[in-house]
Amino acid sequence: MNIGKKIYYGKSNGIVIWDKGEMSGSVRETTLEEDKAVMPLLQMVDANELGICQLEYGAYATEFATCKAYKINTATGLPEFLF
Amino acid sequence: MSKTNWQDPGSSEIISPHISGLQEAVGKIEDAIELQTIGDMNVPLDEVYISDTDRYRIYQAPIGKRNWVAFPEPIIKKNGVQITSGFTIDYGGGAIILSPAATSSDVFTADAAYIIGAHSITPESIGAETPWGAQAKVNAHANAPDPHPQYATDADVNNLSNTVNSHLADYVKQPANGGTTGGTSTAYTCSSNPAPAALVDKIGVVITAHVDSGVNPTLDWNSLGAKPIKKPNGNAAVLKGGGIYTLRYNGSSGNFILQGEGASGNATASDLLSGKTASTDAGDIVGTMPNNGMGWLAARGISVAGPPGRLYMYSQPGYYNGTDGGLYADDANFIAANIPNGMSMFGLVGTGANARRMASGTVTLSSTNATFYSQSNISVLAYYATISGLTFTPSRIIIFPTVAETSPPTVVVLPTDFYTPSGGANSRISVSVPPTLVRYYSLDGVQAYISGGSFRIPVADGTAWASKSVSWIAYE
Repeated sequence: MNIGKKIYYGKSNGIVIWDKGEMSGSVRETTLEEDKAVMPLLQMVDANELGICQLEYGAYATEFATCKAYKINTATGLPEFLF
Repeated sequence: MSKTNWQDPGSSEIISPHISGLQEAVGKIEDAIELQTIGDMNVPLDEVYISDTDRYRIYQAPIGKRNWVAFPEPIIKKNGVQITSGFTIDYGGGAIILSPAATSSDVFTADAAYIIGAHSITPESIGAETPWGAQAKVNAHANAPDPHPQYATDADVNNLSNTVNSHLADYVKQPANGGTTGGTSTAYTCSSNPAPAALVDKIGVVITAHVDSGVNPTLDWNSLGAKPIKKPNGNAAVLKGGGIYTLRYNGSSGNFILQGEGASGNATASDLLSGKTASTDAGDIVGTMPNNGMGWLAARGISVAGPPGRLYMYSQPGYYNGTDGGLYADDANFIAANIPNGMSMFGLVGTGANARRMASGTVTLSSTNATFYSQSNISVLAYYATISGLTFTPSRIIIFPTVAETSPPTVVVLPTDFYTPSGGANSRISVSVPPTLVRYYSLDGVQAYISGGSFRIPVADGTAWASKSVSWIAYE
């Protein structure tokens, strides 16, 4: 199956905390608790501050490949790119 | 009633006591029947010839004037003069016996009362029916309105006849003989005698169908109007030519209802098991449905043109008992070796000998570095990739830059059963950086680990790799 990018970010500023990337093949969706287990940084962020941006598989592929940086628009919950 | 015992005394001789007894008995009979007597004057007495040497001694009254009674005493006259002696009287014989004998010129007469055949008994005297009484009774009997109540009178017979006639015309109590039908296969006609006055509820008629019925047949009985012929369930009846059918009229629905008709239903031969028979609206059928019964039957075909995870198996036509056996399909590739290790497919758990799972993707390296250990146990700060969500535990991992880099690291993690790490058993992580740098990291299970469906592997130690996007491939 294909699973799109899951991006954890700060709700107040849109800064990316962990871009889990996207996957295909023998993969499955993971829960927040599972992600916290492998990425302790997530445990350090207040739950109310932790935002999740789940994208479709392949979404913004070009933008992600060519941008210098990106963050999450806190209003839309979608990535904003810096080229 | 007892009788006088005239027992044989043992001798053939008739002795005087016998005679006396007989005389007494006769006298009693005469008394009982009250025989009448009549007196007669100058009854001539004729000689009773005995023999030439014994003549003129016995003189007897003529037949019909004998049986003299003793009272009044008979008066015997000789030559017209009464005599009182020289003779004895034989009362029963109506005769006199002279002693001495008379002469041939003597004439004897008697004034005597003798018993005649008449008697004084009357029907009234003995309580018997008189002719006129009997006639009166006969007349009364003949004129009586019902002289024999135990027997039917004419009125009774007439009433009975009327009842029978009425019954014969009552086709509710008994169906009429409608004979053999006429008309067409969809519009039968029939008639009966007597004709029915009207189609009333439950009136019945028995017919012989002259042809097989068509669709929705009707019957017109004695021109009372064509009415549909139905089965009890309301379906149109099906009649066979030559068949005898009893129909009853339903006054509510206005249909003739076929009696004794139990067959119904819309099953066809293909709906019924092969060899079985049934009666339906269309008549008797013999089933043609294959009886697959028990056991296993090869599927007519298979298809995967459906939702993921579903295999279609086309069944063979026919009946399955639902408890034993079923369908099967063969595919030589459907073996445990061809299924990834631990994965169950229709209950078959794979061993992974011929199939391994893999996954790939992209991930952003950590924004900060962490401490990892090289094969010589030297700590090295490196930026790393963290992956989770695999459905298998990878044994081979390759990580490489997503975009072209001047010095792209290539990380390879291989299992010890696949190669012999140069840095020791735990040095399974090799990081190659062109042109010559090769670094081995220890897969210590803490900083660098592969655990279940997750792994964290160091990728690069330069700060330029912080938050870099890399690609990865993992194999089971």
